[in-house]
Amino acid sequence: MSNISGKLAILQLACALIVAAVLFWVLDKQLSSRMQENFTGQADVVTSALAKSVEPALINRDITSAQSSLDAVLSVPGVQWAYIEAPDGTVLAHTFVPQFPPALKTLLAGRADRTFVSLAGDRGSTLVMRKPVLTGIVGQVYIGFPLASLYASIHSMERVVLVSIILVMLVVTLSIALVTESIIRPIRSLTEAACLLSTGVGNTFQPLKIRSFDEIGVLTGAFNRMAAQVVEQHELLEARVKERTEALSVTNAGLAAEIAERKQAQEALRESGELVKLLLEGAPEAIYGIDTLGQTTFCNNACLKMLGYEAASELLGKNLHNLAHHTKAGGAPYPIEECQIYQAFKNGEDTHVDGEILWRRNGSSFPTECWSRPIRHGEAIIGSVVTFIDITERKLAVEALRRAKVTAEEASRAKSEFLANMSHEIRTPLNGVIGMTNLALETELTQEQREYLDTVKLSADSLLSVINDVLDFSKLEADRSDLDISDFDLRENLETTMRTLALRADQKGLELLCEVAPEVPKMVRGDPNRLRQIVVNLVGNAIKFTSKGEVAVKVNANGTEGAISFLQFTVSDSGIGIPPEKLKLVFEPFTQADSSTTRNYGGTGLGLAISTRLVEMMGGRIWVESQPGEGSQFHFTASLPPSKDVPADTGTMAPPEILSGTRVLVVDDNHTNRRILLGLLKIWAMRAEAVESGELALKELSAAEQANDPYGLILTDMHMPQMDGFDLTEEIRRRPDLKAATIMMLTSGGQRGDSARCEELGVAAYILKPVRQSELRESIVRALGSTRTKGPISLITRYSLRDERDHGETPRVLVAEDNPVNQLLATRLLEKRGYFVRVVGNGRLALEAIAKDPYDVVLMDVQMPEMDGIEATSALREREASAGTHLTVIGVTAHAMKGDRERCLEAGMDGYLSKPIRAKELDEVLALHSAPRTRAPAGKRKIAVG
Amino acid sequence: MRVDKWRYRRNKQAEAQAEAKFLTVSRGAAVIVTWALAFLSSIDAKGVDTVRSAILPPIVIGVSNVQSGPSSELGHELVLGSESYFNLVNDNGGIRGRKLSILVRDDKYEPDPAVRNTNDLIENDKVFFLFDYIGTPTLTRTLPLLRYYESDDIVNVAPFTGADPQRLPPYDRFVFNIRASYHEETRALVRYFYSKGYRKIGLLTQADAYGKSGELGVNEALGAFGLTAAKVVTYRRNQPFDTHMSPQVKLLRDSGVDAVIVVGVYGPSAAFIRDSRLSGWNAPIANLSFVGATTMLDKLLEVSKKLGKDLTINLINSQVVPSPGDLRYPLVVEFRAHAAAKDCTFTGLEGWLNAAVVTEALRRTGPNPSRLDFIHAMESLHGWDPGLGVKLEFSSTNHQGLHTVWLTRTVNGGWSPEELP
Repeated sequence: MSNISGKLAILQLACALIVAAVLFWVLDKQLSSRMQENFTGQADVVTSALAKSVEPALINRDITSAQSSLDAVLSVPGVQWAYIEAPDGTVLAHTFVPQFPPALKTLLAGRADRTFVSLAGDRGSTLVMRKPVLTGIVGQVYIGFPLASLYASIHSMERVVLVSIILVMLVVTLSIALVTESIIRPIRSLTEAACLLSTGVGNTFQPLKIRSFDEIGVLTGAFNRMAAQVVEQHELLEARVKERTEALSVTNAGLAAEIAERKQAQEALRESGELVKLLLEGAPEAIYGIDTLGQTTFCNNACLKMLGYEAASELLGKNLHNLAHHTKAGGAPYPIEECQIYQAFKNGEDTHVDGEILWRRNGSSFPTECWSRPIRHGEAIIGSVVTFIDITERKLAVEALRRAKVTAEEASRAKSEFLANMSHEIRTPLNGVIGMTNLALETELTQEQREYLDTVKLSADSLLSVINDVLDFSKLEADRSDLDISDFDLRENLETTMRTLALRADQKGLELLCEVAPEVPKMVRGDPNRLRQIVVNLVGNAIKFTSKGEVAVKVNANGTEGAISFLQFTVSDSGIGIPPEKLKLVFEPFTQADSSTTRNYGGTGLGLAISTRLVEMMGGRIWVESQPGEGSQFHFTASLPPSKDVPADTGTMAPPEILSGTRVLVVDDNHTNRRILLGLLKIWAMRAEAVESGELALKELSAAEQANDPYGLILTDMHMPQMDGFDLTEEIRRRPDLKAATIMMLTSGGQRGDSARCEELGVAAYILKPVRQSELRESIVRALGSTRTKGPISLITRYSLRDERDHGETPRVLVAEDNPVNQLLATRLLEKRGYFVRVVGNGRLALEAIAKDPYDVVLMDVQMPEMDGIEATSALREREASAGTHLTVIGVTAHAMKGDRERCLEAGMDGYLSKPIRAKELDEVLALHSAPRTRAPAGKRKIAVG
Repeated sequence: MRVDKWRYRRNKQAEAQAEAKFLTVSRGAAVIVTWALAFLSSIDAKGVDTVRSAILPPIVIGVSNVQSGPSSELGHELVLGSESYFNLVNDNGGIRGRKLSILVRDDKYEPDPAVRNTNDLIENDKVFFLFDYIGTPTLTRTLPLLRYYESDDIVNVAPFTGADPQRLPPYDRFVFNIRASYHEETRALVRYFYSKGYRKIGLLTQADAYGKSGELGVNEALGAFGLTAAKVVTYRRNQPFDTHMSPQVKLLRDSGVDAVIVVGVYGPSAAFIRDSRLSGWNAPIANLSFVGATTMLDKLLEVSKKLGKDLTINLINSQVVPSPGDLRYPLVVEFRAHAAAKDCTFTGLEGWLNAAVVTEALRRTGPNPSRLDFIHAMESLHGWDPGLGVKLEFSSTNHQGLHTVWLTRTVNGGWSPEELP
């Protein structure tokens, strides 16, 4: 137990005791006085009642009946005795057993109507109440209420209060102790870790878990960094040791060469043995010579020193193996026959032994590296020269290196796991913050409060996205993420992905383009969500770092490597670009090309790191090409083989009859866009041409007219320099020779009133970019079809829906919701969007309202009193089954659980929103579900009439 | 005619006893409906009447008294006496073909259950009249109910208590008291003691309305001689026989009384007598009829046998019926003929008497009588002798039937008639 917790515990205990004592004192005082009041009050009432009830009996002088009343009073709890006194003071009737206490009358003489007496034989005193009967003319009644029962109930109350207080204090003290312990524990583990680190056991240091983000958390973090530095220093040391070891082996090699030389010189030096001896003595390595019998013939100083001998005479003539090489490292005896050193002169070959141990004279040992070389005299081997060095240092270094590596790996894994866990821990409360903020925002707020909460929401949202990134990254790092492989439609996937990004691009005025090469299979096998994550990240980044121009996504088949099919994705932008020296860095976690960009553009810098990991998991690679100021191209490849179960389909759908052969003119200032459209149109066997401006389009149209091969369809972009889509259309309409052409307008961002203008100009459709392949095809088919049948058909987007109500046809929404706040919220949101809103309180009222008035959409709360949303919808669907109609019902539920959606859809709802209703989601759902109604207005009228 | 009837009764005696036993056993269920056994008598000369009686609804008589607890013997004996008589009537075809049945509810000798039972008997069971109630504290509390149901003409007949409230206005008109009052009993006892020379008379009373009623009676009687009770002590109601009464004995003895009148019930009374005699105090002790003299004596005899000391000496008991062994009275003879020897108690005899009186009244009503008819019939029982050598004195202004008190004293462990002074 740490000292701090002990002190805190004593403090807590003291506080708890004081609080308990005060609490008990106050409660006891209050409650007992209350109980006493009750007691006397009750006594008073009982006595008065008795006085009343004996009155007629006393008037009749019917003492028996009076006694009967006394008898009855005894059954009242708290009453011990009672008696009636005649006006003359005689006792008329009483309930005492065995007799009326003679002392009682003297005790009560002259006392007040309410008094306390102590009778002999009674324990404690008794409250005596006196009441006159008929103002005392016929007598007085007395009732004795022993206080013992009052005290008993006070004592039992005290016991209960005391036990409750003790229990509460116990719980409080325990909880405080637990909380304190949880605060102290990290401090303690910090202390222990610090001790461990300082005593040098720090090699195996593990980073401490940060359990909170308070001061202790910060301290722990700082400690971890410090410890990491210590470990790093350690690693540096290892590196240095390694360097040294390498240097040493170079030296050794040199030495070996030197020895060889020396050997040659030996012959020459034979005469000058002194010189040789001097040389040998000077060598830093231990050197000794043995003759063919294994006896030492020579040894130098280094040898003596290493083996711990003083003079050469101690070794000369002895078998050095038996002196210093007799036992192996494990403790087993080392027979001389096995000794490599002796093999040198037996076999006449050089031997090299590394890692064996030699024994010093004092019995200690050291690891050694040994070279043994036969000494030849002419052809005959006369012995061997042995060189050895002490490799203790090197051994230690290697061992330390290995340990450091293990530690580092463990630390890395622990870090990632910690991150993964932590992110979860943070996300949970953060979700609470966001959810509650959203809820708070839907309540009545002052402007100031709303601004504050908006800021909270914004901050929380961005914090959540940061944490999501971190979590995702750490999961990938910790190898806790797997791909979820399934067959999916690549184009569909990309188109929906682009749609979510289109709004952001449009807000910045950017063109967002997507092009999938025809040879790319329609259905592929892979993880659609992870692919989408990569694309969203890359495109999101591109949008972020591009202020004008375009962002384009291109997908090409990248051939197959063995059995694996690769697709190459390219996301190019016209943004700020990346300087060459930073190109590698962008894929590193927590990095952006420039730390200043981080400030400008925000974000964690994890996106690309995550994408890199994901791409690697998909068997591909990611790279970037960029020049500062000229935009960037991010490429990645991924193994997305064509789905086996689905026949390979390049995405071309059988072109409807109406399309094939029709001449189409594409007018768009953006080159990529033109290319994409042309590609699509050609797939559908349309004869398509493209021009880059309105002026050129007019020219082309006239030319075609004159060539008697007019264009049946014009696809024009709305935003173009000089002459925009509207100008072009007006111009075409103005010229009688060109009037016949069907015009479709493409736009990347709809403005209010655009569709009205389109209609005014006779534009057949107006479509939001990026265009889904299927949508474009359908639109063209409809547009051309309507031209043939001479009936106007407008294609509806969510923007045109809004415009429609400007034409006097206000969509009618019925809101079934019981909560007044939510009623208000829904009404506001919808009215702001120009809907006619009617609110009802439950499902039954909703059904009534639907029967009475026509509605376009019903927002149906799932949980309502009387009749809930599920029940109401089922009833509505049943009713509709006979009428053959269908009213769009969108469920609204408070808990966005997984099963809710299924329940809603099962009941026949068309869509589903989770509370709190967010404006954005409401827009999306309404756009999605109100479309069919306008497409088939006739059906709707039927409901209105029937 | 009388001889025929007698013979018939003898034939049916065994069956009546078996039935009575059965009823005693099943009394725990609190509801007992007695049906005549007429169907069994193939030799019945009144066969036609019998068959008709099976069709007519019985006259249901409501009883609430003590059927459990320390004083339950009183209730058992009283009801058994009445039932035996009604069985006899029913065996003879009932009254104009209608059987008499009694519905018994247990009030444990406590006021509150008595009130509830009375209300139930009137409201739910729609009994013809109330009958055989026992005890002053219980009956006194039910009296206001009779006034409450005044318009229903419901009356309480023959309560087993001699207290005043039901004999005095305003409740006297709702009750027909057959037995003499406590005043009459205590007066007899006081006169008896006075004539024997006792002057310092002490009282042991139950600490409730019964005790008070007795105390008032004693004091009134003593007042005639210019005396008052020398000492009054009390005991708590519903005490069993093993209660210690030594404090009461000591108080009375220390105050120097020379005779004691006990206003109590057999359990505590016997306990008092036991503790008096064991303490060596042999002053005469008198009890009122309510005590349940037979049961009290049985208890004392039991202890006497156990201790080898006769505790039954010098006991006097006032009674409102003659001794069940006194065959000078036709009613006693009749009763003994139809009751088992062990059931021949004072209380049982009173039950028999009560039943005989109401049967006579019912006989005097016309067919299909109303409650008012019954009240008038009861009030007509003036000068009619139920077989006790005295005549009932009921009239429209007098609801006290008898005033006669019999005294008994213990002789060799049994009650013997004692002459009134």
